[in-house]
Parts: sequence; structure tokens; C-alpha cells
Amino acid sequence: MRSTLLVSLGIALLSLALVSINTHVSLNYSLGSKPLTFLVPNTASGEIEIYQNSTNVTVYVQLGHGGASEVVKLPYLSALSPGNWSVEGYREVYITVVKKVVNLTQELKCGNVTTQRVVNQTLEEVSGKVTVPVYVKVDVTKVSLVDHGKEVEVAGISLIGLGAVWWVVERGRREEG
Amino acid sequence: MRSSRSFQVLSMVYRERYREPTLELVVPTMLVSNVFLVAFYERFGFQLLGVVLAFVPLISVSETLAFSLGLRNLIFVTGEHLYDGSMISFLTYPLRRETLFFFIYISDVVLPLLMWVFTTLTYSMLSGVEVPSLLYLTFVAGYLFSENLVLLIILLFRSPGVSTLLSLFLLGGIFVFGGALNYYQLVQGDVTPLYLTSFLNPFVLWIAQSFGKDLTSEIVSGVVGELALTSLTFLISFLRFRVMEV
Repeated sequence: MRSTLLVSLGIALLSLALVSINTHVSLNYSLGSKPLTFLVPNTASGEIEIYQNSTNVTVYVQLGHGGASEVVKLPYLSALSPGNWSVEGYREVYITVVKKVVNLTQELKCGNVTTQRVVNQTLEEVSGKVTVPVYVKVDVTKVSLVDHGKEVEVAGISLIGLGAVWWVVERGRREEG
Repeated sequence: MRSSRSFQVLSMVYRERYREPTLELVVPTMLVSNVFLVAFYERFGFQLLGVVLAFVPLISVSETLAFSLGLRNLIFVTGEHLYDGSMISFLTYPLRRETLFFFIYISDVVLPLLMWVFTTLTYSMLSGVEVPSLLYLTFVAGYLFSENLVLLIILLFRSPGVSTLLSLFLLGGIFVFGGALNYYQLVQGDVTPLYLTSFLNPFVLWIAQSFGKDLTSEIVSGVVGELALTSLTFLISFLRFRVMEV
């Protein structure tokens, strides 16, 4: 490997470690029927806000993050920690009992007789509709270009140093030859 | 002894293409230009769309660099040797033509691709942004398809000027009109013809996929189609180089 290539790679790694994107990025989503999912890398920092504009209702959403899922009351504000995020309308599962008419066939000696009977039936209902608009605002304040910046910085400086030593050795050999 | 001579020729072919400061400029630029991956990923809300857009050829600087380097090697180094007849000096070495072809192919086409794979994988690992492996494969298949087509053109026409124009028209046409055709089919809602046409520009399907449509099998069929065409153009180029009069 050439010494100049080592030095240039070192400079590239060093610049990646020292530079970060500091532009404030604000992302706004309106929560629909599908869950909103995104994966925040370790390099990003910022905050997440979930809110709704209606004043006379209380809205809950199902928030999944870092393997745990919880129902949170809006408005909700939290730091944007790394990992998978999922936001969806709170789905309440409840059981209702309904009356249903069923046909029953009885086998008798004189023939088959069909009778109708009213029975109780339990149904599982899922209320998944968000009835008021729910907004998710993700504010990203900073994104580093690499994770573990310190280690990358050390690797960059080491490559520059190694390249410089190699260059001196190569030059010495050339002068000897 | 023979392998050492082969190595000498490979080294000569390599040095001709990558003399200082080519690698010093290209490799770090490829590595650093991958910052668009993080920038797009952030701008598009940490969704797949950001990763896909950062991988679209011409938007991605590192892909464009790899492609340009391959194009320069094929047209302005190998093509120039064929045009002015200096290829004969390589053929005078005690080396089989087939071996020389593989040396030229590795230096011209494979090395820029390896540089791209190395820098992109390194940056993806350093930044912690996950890139689907099929997306890597989509670019690799597209790159090999394009470069092999250029190789075939240069071996057929032996003129750097003609090859440059023809390659740009052909590849540009396939990418732009193929993309338009795929987009039209997606808008029409008929995804069955995409199995046949996705190889023309699979990145349009990737964008549709990142909007929630499941088009994985269509993209896979496009990648397979590109790899099949790559093998075909490689084989024709190989056979052509073997019997070519210099």
C-alpha cells in the first residue's frame, strides 16, 4: 500500500469524525390508519413530539420504542433516542355479547325437526380508528457523520502517522538505492 | 517463473490505470461522499426512501465516481490501446490472450467496483445506517451490466470517440426511458410487465417500494436479468478479444 494513500484515507476518516450535520430538520407527519415507523441511528439527536389540536378530547396512542410498547396520553414529548420507533392509534380491544339466532336440527324417531334458538355470542371488537387528527413532529438537531467518533478520529490520526512514517522509510530506501 | 511474468504484466496493467494520485483522489472521495447516505436518511425521516435516494446513480457521488473510473479505464486506456495499435506490445509478452483479457477486465472493471464496495460498506458500518443487501446487489448488477456493455462497444468499434458517444446514448437511453417505462407501469397499476422491464432501471421500483409497495420479487427479477445480460456481454467480449486482430 502506498504511503500517500494511507495519509489521504487518514485525512478522510479524520474529517468524517470531526464534521457533523447541524442543520435543524423538522419532520411532520399526520398519523393515519397505518403505524408510523422509523429507525433512528445512534448518530442522531433531537426530540419527538406527538400532539393533537382538539381541546375537548383526550387522545391516546400506542408508542413502541426499544422493544417496549406503551399507551401514552397526548401531548407527548421525549428525546429522540436511537432505535426503532413506531406510533399508531390506540387500538382498544373489547368483548361484546350479541344475540344470534341459530338453526338446530334434531333427529327424532319420526324424522328430523329443525328448530330455531337464540344464543349468546361473544365478539372481539377492535377500535383502531383515530377519530381526531394526531400529529407526530420529529425535530432532529444534530446528526454525526459517524458513530463512535472518537475511535474513528484515532484511526484517522493513526493512518496519517503510519503514512508519514512509511513515506520517510520509502524515501530513505530510495536515497540508499 | 511463468506466474511471476503474469504478475509483472498484471502489475503493469494496474500501474498504467492507477498511477499516483488516482487512488489517493478517488478512494477517500468515495468514502467521504457517502455522507449523502446520512444526509438523505435524516432529511427523509429515517425511512427507506432516504437510503434508496442516496443510492440512485448520478445522485450518489461514490457510485458516479466508480462508474466514471471504469468508463475512463475502458474507453481511454484499453480503447486507446486498441485504437492506436499499442495493444500489440502487451500481446508480445509470453502470456495467453485469455489471461491478458482477465487482467484488463480486473483492472478496468472489477477494481473500481471493489473500491466502491469497500468504501460504501465501511461508511455504512461507521454511520450505523442499515442498507438492504438487495440494494447493494442492484447497483453491482447495474454497474457490471453498464461496464460490460461499454467493453463490448469498445471491442466492436475500437474508437474511443465513437464508443464514448454510443455508450452515453445507449446507457442514458436505457436508464431514462427504462425508468419512464417502469414509472408508467407503476402508475397504471399493472405490475406484471415489471418482471420483464425492471432490469432497465430497478431504482424506480426501489423508490415505489420505499413508499410501501412490495416489489421485491420484481426487483430481484430485474437484478437477475441484468446479471444474465452481463454474462452474455462478457462472453461475447471475451470471444471477440480472443480472435481480434490488432
